[in-house]
Amino acid sequence: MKAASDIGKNNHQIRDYTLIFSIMFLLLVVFFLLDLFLGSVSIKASDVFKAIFSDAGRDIETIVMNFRFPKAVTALVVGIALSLSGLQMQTLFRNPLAGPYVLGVSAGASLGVATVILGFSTGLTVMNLQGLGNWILVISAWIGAGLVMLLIMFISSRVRDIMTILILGMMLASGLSAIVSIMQYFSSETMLKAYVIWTMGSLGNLSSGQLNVLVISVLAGTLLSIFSIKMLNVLLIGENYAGSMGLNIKLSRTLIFACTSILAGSVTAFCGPIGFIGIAVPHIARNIFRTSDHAILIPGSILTGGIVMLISDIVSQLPGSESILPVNSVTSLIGIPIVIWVILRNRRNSGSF
Amino acid sequence: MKEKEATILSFDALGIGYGSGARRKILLPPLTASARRGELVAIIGRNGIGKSTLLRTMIGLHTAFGGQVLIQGENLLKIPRMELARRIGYISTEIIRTSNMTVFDLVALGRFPHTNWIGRIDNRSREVIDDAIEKTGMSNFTGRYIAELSDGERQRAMIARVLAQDAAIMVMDEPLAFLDLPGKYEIANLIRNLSRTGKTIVFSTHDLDIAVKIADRIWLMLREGLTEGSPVKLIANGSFDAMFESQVSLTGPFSVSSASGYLKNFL
Repeated sequence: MKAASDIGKNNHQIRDYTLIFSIMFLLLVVFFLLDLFLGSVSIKASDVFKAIFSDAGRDIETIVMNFRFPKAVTALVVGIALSLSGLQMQTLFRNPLAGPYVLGVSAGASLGVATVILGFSTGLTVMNLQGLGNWILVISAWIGAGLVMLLIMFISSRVRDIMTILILGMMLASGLSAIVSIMQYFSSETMLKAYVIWTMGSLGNLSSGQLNVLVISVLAGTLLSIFSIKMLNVLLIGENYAGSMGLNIKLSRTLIFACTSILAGSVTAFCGPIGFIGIAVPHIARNIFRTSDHAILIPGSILTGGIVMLISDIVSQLPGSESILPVNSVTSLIGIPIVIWVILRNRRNSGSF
Repeated sequence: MKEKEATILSFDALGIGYGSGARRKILLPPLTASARRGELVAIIGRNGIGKSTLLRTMIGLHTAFGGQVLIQGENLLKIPRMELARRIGYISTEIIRTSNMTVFDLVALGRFPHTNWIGRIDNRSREVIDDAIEKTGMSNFTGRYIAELSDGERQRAMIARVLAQDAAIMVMDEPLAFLDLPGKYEIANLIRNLSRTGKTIVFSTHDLDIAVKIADRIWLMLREGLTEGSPVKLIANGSFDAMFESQVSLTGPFSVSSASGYLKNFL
């Protein structure tokens, strides 16, 4: 029972978004630079700057410009893409546990890639080095991701319980990986080698051609996501209400599907499946900005995703040592506690989203 | 006065049901009814008779199996979806608990059919939103998260959202459900007042006594079809009796058959 005088005091302060955005942008720049400075070879910060802006000697310039810089850009782009696709999936399915990795969308993209590398001519491994192969690879990943999105959409139209959907998504991911294993078993040695090299693909293995394709795809996906802001906002209260307010459900589903498939598919095509960024980052962004408005959450997730992925990359390099951790295990260690927190909170609030 | 008398919403030989193809199930004989501008219409009927399906068919979320719905004299199916949303708003029984969404955010969503491609809230929209919040008595709650509201407060926020949609017709599916007694009367009073400001409101309910007190017109849904009329007329001619026919023959002060007699008290 609230006294009349207390009513209104519970109003939540609208946060100063400009300030938060400025701080986060600054953090993004700082971590981007740190990612350039830190690595298995220790290079002085001043030398890194020299390498970027003038001349710092051949070895250092090679390390910074040919290795660290593209890797930092990849980390940034991967973080943005996975977070955005996770945010869109969570709103579309109205499920706080949706994400490209847990629901099998990444696995679908992997199957698409495996079909191309293992299923078709060995000539493709040669084509891989040229421009066209990259596009074939990325488009097959989009198709794989898109098909899984369709399947999940079908399942979630029948099953409302989010835990059930999550379990089915995980089954789907395991099933798809099993198909890929079978394909590996029956493929020739050269194809297998090409595929295994791809699965090991981390942030640092991209050729400049591949990085170009990745950046262009993610840019396209990000632009599309700006057009989905209004739709996502109204979809927050469910498709029934959205439809009653004039939203074209089929059109907006198609747009959001295309967007998430492009974003998650492109990342998987070149960096392999990277887990838990897509599911965790939107929750971090929601907690920072305390809003449900996608006009804030989309740029918010872009910044948060970039920062989290750059941190993951820095940690994975174990600065000062010569060994490197797989980036996937770092993102899992960061993401899993957040997912557990969401599950526990969700049990208390009985499935509110 | 003539304007007020005009029929704003009607349907003729409307077939309602669900499913499609061979598995489609038609619920009731074809239904015919209408509502005039500024009228408050209550839909009464037993569980499972098809009240929600009728409401959903009226706003175009469900396909009609025959017949047509006319909104301001125009066939519902011919009206573009955005234009339709500017004429008719809807509240379902679904409880919205979206996290981090404030009351203002929720009400602002009502501007969806009016805003530009990115959903910008301009001055005009801002005025309509503030007005909707004011009319539903939610002024002190604008910054509150909807997940923290009581059932009654949430229902008022949902009504504010439909008001912000600025449609002449409002359709509500059981707006009085889940509420305690004061809450029911609060919402009933709000709905009544809104209809007096010129909104046409159609709502379904199981609270017969509230319905007969506040509604201008009742659409009574029975297995035989839909009967419409003023509450007084329907009570007097015994239309409600059919609803109280029970399969279970138990007698006593709370027997189902005694309820129809109770309604006569309202005459």
